[in-house]
Amino acid sequence: MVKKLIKHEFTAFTRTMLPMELILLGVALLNRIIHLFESHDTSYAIIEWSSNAAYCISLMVCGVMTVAVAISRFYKNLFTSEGYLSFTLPVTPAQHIFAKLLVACTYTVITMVTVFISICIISMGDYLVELFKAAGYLIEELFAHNTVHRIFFAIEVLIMCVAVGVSEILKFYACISLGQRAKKNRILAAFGIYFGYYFVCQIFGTVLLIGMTSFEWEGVVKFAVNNPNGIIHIVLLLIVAFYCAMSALYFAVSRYIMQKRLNLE
Amino acid sequence: MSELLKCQQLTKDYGGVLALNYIDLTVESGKIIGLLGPNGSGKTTLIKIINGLLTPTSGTVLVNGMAPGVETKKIVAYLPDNSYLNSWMTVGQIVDMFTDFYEDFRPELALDMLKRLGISPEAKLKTLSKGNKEKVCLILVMSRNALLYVLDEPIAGVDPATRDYVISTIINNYNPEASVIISTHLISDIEQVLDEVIFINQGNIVMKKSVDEIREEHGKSVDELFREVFRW
Repeated sequence: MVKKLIKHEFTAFTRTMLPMELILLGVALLNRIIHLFESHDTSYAIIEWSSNAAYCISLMVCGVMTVAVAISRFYKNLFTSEGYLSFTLPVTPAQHIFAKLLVACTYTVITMVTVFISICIISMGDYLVELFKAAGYLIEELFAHNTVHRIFFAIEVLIMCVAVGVSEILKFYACISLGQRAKKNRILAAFGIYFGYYFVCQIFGTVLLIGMTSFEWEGVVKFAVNNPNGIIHIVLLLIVAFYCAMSALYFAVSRYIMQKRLNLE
Repeated sequence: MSELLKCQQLTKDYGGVLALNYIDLTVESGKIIGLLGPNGSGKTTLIKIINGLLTPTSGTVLVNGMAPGVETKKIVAYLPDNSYLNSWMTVGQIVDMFTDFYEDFRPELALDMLKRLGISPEAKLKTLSKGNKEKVCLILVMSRNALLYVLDEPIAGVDPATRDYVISTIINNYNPEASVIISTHLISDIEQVLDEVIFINQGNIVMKKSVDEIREEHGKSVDELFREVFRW
C-alpha cells in the first residue's frame, strides 16, 4: 500500500513541481543565450538585468514552492474534503505520513539538482570550472592539518543534512496535525503552534547557552585538542541523534492525532 | 443474518453540543436501511464515526466485529455528502486510484456505467457538472463489492431524473449479502427501496423498524410517519 500511496503522491507533486523546475531550467538557458550576445548597449543591459532578475525569481519560487507544496499536500490531502477519501483508504496514518515525507524529501533533492543544473547552464564553461577549483582548494585546506577521514566526514554531513530536512518537514506535519485539535480556525491554530513552538525553542536554546557558560569546559577543550578527528565526528553524530529523536517525536504526534483524535469537519 | 454494525453507548460531544447521545444501534446484513432525520439530527456524525473520520467522545462502534481501522475500510464503501475527489484528476485517474487501493473494486463495472452515462474517463472532474460529479462518486462507491455501503445524502441537490438514476444504481449494484445505509431527508424518493428505517433526532435513535412494520402498525408510509414524528 505504501508503494501505491507514494505513486499517487508523486503524481500530485509532479503536477505542480515539474512545470516549476522546467521554467527554472528554461530561464537559465535563456539567460545563457542572452549572455552570448554581450554588448555595451543600454537595451542589452536592460535585457540582461531582466533575465537575471527572472532567473533569481524562478530560483526563489522553485525553492519556496517545494516547501509550500510539501506542506499544502499534507494539509489539503488529509485535513480538507480530500481527507474523506484519504482516510477511508485501507492504509494506516503512519503510511500516509511516510509516503508524504518520502515524496517531499525526494522533490527537495530533485529541486536541488535542478538548481545545480541551472547554475551549470548559466555558468557553462566559465565560472563553473573556477567554482569547482575553489571548492576543491577549500576542502584541501580544511583537511590539510588534521586527520579527519574525508569520506566519513562527507557521509556524516550528508546524513546530518537529511536528518535536519526530515525533522523540519515532520515539524510542519506535527504543527498542522495539532492545529486540527482546534475547534475553529485550524490553519491559524497550526501557524500559532509553529511560531509558538519556535519561540519556546529559542528561549530554551538561550537558557541552555547561558547555562553552558558555567560548565567546566577545560576537559572538553583538552579532549578536542588531543582528538581533533574524534570531536568532529562526535559533534556531527550528536546533531544527527538529536534531529532523529525530534523527527520521531513529530512523527508520533502526527500519527497519534490522525489515529486517535481525528475530527474531520 | 449477521450483525454488521454495532454501536454501544456511542456519544459525540462537540464542545457542549451533544451530536450523538449514548446511542445503541445494530444493523444486520442484507438490508437497505434509511437513516432518516432532520438537519442536524446526528446522521452525518454517526456516519463519520462508522468510517473512522471522527473520534467518538465515548462508547464503541464495531463494523463486522472490528473497530474502525484499516480492516473495516476494506469492507466499507463510503459516499460523503460533499465533493471529496481531487478536482484536478481525470475520471480515469480516480478509477485507477480506486483499483489500486480497494481489492473489491470492479473497474470494468465502473467504466461500463460511466460509458453508459457518456462520461469520458479522460474528462477532468473539475469540468463535470455537479450532477455528473455526484454520479461519478456514486458509481465509484457502488462499483465496490463491499459488505457495508454508507451513503450520506446521495440524492440531495440533484434533479429528479438523476435521483432515479442514483436509486437504480444502488439497487442494481449492491452485493445482496451486504447492507446499505442511506442517510437522507428526501424520504418519498427513496422509500420504495428501503427495508428498514432508523429515525434519529437530536442525537437519539427515536425509532428503528422495518418498512412493513411501519405500514402494518401505523397504516402510514414512512414519509407520512416521518412528518408526524418530526412535526414542529
